Amino acid sequence: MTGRSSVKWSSHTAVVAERARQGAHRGMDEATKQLLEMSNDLVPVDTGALRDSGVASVQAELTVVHGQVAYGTTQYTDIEAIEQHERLDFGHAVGQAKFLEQPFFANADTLRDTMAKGIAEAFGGAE
Amino acid sequence: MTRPRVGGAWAGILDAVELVEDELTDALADIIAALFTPDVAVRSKALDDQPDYGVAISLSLYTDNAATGLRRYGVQFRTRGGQDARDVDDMAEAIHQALHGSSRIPAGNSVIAHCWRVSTVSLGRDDSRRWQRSDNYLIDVSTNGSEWIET
Repeated sequence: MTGRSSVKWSSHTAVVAERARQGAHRGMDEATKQLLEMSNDLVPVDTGALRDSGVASVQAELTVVHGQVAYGTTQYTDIEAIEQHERLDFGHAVGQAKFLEQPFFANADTLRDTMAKGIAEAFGGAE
Repeated sequence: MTRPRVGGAWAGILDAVELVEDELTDALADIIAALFTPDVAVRSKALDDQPDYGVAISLSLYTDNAATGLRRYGVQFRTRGGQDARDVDDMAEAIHQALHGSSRIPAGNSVIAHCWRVSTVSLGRDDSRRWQRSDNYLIDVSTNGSEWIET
């Protein structure tokens, strides 16, 4: 209902949804890179092949954005990555087991903030 | 066995951290041991070569909130069975049934407020062709929270 003095606006939901999707993509991209960097500080290093196999990636679907950080992405590191990550009884001159799981759970709030920041910036927000 | 202790001003703090983790491990070990026959070894951190069947429990501290006394730990149950892969899968499933979604588990002076599984992966066979797997849980722990226990 409109009167003599009124404000009328229209929200274009398709534009809003597209901005949210782009922001979520950007935020996820930043968060996965952030996690990869944290993990690379902890990954066991012998030849460096395992560390170098680390990859951060983002895959966008219509309504969902998936982020992934993975190690063991090469032929010679695929088995090694699982074993080095899970075997807490191994000794390491450099690095440690749980080099991916630990920073992910220990920094869950930071990573969530990074994702939120991506969405906020897509709408012009400062946060 | 007498374990080395840290001296000086840090001794009390580090002893307290160690005590909490010892109590958590003991509480979880009691639950796990009750699931299996006595020939299944339940150990902290690593398994000896024998017996074949065993569960190693390892804790990793992820967050520690000094204000609330709440900590979040990752707990790994590394299981080893025989040469039939179904054995180790059955062991992991029994642990899952006992712990996944459980809450308010007393652990000495602490309480495991919540426990849930977050990942599982096969570790293949060891040198003796025994199957192994790793199941990883998160536990939220109240280190000053006897009030978490229902009376």
